[in-house]
Amino acid sequence: MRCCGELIPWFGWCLRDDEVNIRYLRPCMFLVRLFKHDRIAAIIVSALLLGFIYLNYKWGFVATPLLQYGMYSQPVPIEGERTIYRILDAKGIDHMPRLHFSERDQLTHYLNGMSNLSNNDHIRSVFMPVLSMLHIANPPSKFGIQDSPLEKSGKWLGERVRKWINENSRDKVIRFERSAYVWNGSKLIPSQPNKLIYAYFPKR
Amino acid sequence: MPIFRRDKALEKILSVYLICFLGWIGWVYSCEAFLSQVQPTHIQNRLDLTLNLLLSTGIHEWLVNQPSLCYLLDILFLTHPLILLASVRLPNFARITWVVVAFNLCYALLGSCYTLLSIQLWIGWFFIPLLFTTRDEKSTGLSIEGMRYAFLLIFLSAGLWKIRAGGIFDTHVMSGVLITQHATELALSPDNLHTQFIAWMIKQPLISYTLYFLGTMIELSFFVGLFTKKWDRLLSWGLIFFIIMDILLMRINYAAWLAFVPIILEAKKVHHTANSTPRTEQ
Repeated sequence: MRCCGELIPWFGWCLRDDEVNIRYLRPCMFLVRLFKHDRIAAIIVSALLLGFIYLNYKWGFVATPLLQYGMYSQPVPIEGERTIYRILDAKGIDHMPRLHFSERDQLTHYLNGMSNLSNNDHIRSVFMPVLSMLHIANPPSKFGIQDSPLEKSGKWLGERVRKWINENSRDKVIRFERSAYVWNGSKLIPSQPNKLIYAYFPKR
Repeated sequence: MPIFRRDKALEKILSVYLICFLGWIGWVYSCEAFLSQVQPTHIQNRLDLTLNLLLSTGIHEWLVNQPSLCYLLDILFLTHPLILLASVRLPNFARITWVVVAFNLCYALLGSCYTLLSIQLWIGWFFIPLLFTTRDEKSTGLSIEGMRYAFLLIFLSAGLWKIRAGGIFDTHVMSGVLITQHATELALSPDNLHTQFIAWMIKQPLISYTLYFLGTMIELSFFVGLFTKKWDRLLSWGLIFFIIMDILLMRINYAAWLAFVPIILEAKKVHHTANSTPRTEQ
């Protein structure tokens, strides 16, 4: 019995509880033992497992807690432009190099989002049919997947940055700019002039 | 072979969970990523069905206008281990734990769409409390084993992705990754010691690729864990090494995943319950 079980995983159904510890069958045997102990739990775990495999095979969207863990899996060319953000005060001084690592990360994250609002249209086009099918995407205004408008996000970020750079004066403008850099073999050098994303006027 | 005892196993898991959680709190606070610190305004959506189901309730718009609610959610999240500890002797402990798991999942979804912390960093806080939904020895043993398999699959899938997407086949991949990951530092603070080290790594594609390859091999080695528990200690060390290198080299903090280490180690004892005759590994 045991020998057959080793060769054909699902033959393990015939094994006794104390026999289902065969090394080669562990993943299947775990489900068998779980099924014998709690059928509902086994069905849920099997469904989650299949969902995890499907989402990873499908490659496009996830459904937390079923996630993809493929960060930096694709080839990343050394050539090509990298986006760098800058925060300039009224005197034109760039405060980005003086910020703490975590502050830079936050700023880059939020400015990336503010610069890629079109991403929302893609997300909407993918999920709208599903949510409509479930009758929960109606009316669309309640859908609520759009980033807040640039003006609102910009004000919020401007206030954060004012705190980080100790800018107390409310008369002075803070400009968020984006520039492109390329790797020249030893360092990153600018390849394009800066572009203004948003100018924050605290007084307004 | 050590014998599996439910209370002792859960005690160990909970101790490491608490330590990791305290570390996580400090880190999230320094990243200004608690809801009360962020004061939700800027929502960054992603291709996540569960997140979009949550957002379709309009909760995110509600939070924007309710700063006090953000504080309340933060407090509930910060105190959830205490809630678990306090309710451990109550008859409806399992139900309370399910509520905690559901709350942590929602909090993680909101936290990941309002802040820069990706959802992958939060998984421990809604997966591990699931272990406390069981009461008897056998159910807990099966939960711990199931959690171990889930974590092995997560790590293994990361390795498989590098094969499927082709990163592992490009010897310059790590140089490109380092440029992308540290672009701001390389462009604006090139004199920083860490940045100089990163620039040196970028210029040595063979060395940087070796590290990428090693990382992928660690991820793929979790495949072994699906068939035997003999190497679990080694896999745990591999996980710790991977996390440390991720922090040092990439500045990506997966330290919260250390909470899974005692689960991997405790799962080894599951077959050897106090009531059964210990068996040797086959």
